Amino acid sequence: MLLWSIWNLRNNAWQNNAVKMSTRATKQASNVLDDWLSANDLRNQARIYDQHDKCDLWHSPPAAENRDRFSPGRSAMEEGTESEQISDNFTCAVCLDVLYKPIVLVCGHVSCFWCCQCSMDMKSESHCPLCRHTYHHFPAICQTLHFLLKKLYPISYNRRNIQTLEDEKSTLGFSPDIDSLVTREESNGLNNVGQTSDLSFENDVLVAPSTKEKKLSESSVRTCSVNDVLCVACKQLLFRPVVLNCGHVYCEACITIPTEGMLKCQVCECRHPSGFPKVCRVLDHFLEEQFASEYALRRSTIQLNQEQTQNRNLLNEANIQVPRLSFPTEENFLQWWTVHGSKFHANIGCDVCGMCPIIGDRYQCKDCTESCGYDLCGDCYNTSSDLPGRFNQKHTQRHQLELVKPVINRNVIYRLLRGQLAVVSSIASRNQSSPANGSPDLPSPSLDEDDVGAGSTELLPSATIEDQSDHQAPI
Amino acid sequence: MATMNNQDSNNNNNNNNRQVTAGPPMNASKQPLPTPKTVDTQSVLKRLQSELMALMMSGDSGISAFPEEDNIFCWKGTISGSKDTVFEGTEYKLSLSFPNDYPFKPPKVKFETGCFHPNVDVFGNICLDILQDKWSSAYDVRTILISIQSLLGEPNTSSPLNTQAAALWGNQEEYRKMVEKLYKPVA
Repeated sequence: MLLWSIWNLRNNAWQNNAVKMSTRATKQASNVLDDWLSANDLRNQARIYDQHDKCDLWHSPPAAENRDRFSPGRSAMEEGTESEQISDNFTCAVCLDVLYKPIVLVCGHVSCFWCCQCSMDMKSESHCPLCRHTYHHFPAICQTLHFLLKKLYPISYNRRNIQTLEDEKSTLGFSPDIDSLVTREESNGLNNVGQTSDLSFENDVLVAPSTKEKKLSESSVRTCSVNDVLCVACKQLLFRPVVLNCGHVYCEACITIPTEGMLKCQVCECRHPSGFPKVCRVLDHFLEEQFASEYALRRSTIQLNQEQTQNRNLLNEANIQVPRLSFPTEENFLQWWTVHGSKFHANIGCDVCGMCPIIGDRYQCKDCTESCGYDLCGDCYNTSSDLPGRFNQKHTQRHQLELVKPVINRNVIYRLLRGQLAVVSSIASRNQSSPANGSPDLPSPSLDEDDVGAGSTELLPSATIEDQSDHQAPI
Repeated sequence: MATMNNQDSNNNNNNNNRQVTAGPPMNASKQPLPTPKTVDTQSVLKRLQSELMALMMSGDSGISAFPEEDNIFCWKGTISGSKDTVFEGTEYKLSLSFPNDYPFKPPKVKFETGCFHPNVDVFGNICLDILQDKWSSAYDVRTILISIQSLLGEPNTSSPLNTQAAALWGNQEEYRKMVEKLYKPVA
């Protein structure tokens, strides 16, 4: 819209110039411009302008923009966008546009795939742009929301799809192609028909949106039904929806928390490492508005079941002790580094659970040719799942993975040298027996090796060290 | 002073980041990419345009901002001192320059009008956490200006850039006089 206003302003400027020039040609031109501003049929206009070939004024506007303006596809698209009023609920706080390939963080806030990815800190914990909640795992795209938005705002969503693809081509990184992913699952589903009930259940959930979406593109129906927003567990309308790290949406009450071990998605068996998810308010508000009666019904049935809720709350509390990797504060950075430094993979994320940066073992694919590579964290390597890469890598299970040591990033060294030098020297003064620790050349390549481990072992709270790697454990 | 150092190292880190991790899959770059960063200015433009729209529609009192003549990456903003503070009745011009990876990196914000304030130095640099390490990509021009406006009335005197102002802050009457004395509105 703003573009339009700028455009009009510019047109007015031309008109003013035209008045000053006061020749017949410019008068003609200004008439034409007037026509142009008021006319609807842009292509028709193009023809008119061709007739006034000799008018210099007409040739002055920037050619590229004009061509775009006159391509019917684009103008139709822009008009369409303006007619689609995107609810504030579904506007991404980062790009201020309609959410595209939405991901839901554990705090319940939603943003676009790339907006979240670019907001992440690749060397430390990341924070939700909206509430600063810390997280360590980049969630997978929420397919329910993706298909819902696609249905609600087909034109805007398509525009974003085209734009994003263009951007991705120029930056050599791709977001997962959900639509083809779903079709793949669909074909897998056909092969697996009638195997286990669990499997067919999963395929139902995944296939349903894609077929609906095909119909949508044919008939361009913009309304959505309860079927688009079902809980994957109870298969009823979502009530207080929560989204797991894998992108599957449940009612808050439908999540069953294991008495021991990590919360897992019932559908895809993916671990949910980030603690009990909070209700996704954006989706919740939408459901409450869109399906008022059904939502109220769900509320009453769930509230009737008081016992269940109480149990759930108890379990929620029990679940709070989630294994979390704590990142260092300034004071204990060195301590932390001596423990985790040798297993800290800055800038590297796990392609299955999204842990970024990877702390612990890292397995790298030797066969993936994509520039971003394909990596797994130790846990995901051991559970060997068949998920494609986070950035649309064509990874298959036949690819070879190998254990890799971290590249000591010079940024980290830099940080250690500049920011934590005070800490280093203070520790050194306390720990006279190992002067090597205090010297500024500490973060030399020997950093992750025995020197440091041996020098500062007495500083380490060895009880809290959870050492996952079996190589080079400081004793 | 600690904050100054902090800022310094932050800047250095930023520079480093830019060299090492290139390209928005930069962020995606699970490994440093060999290809140079192709700046995706299109999305930055779009975001700045939406912000401008929202800012013009919102009609917040006491703050305003608009791009410089032909460069949407450089804005001029104004904030006026809030009521019941020593800055009441004064108006300050600020410059905001947006990096190519905005909103993932904060814009550089400076006072153009001299401002006698504990957290603003003589060059107009502002010491505000949300413009440095506490930046979030969900912040925008409006929230920045509102934050600076409230910073005027509630300075952080424990880590001042202007020690004189910080020392005087306790005496609001004197402070007000100083503000009036030093205030030079831009024509």
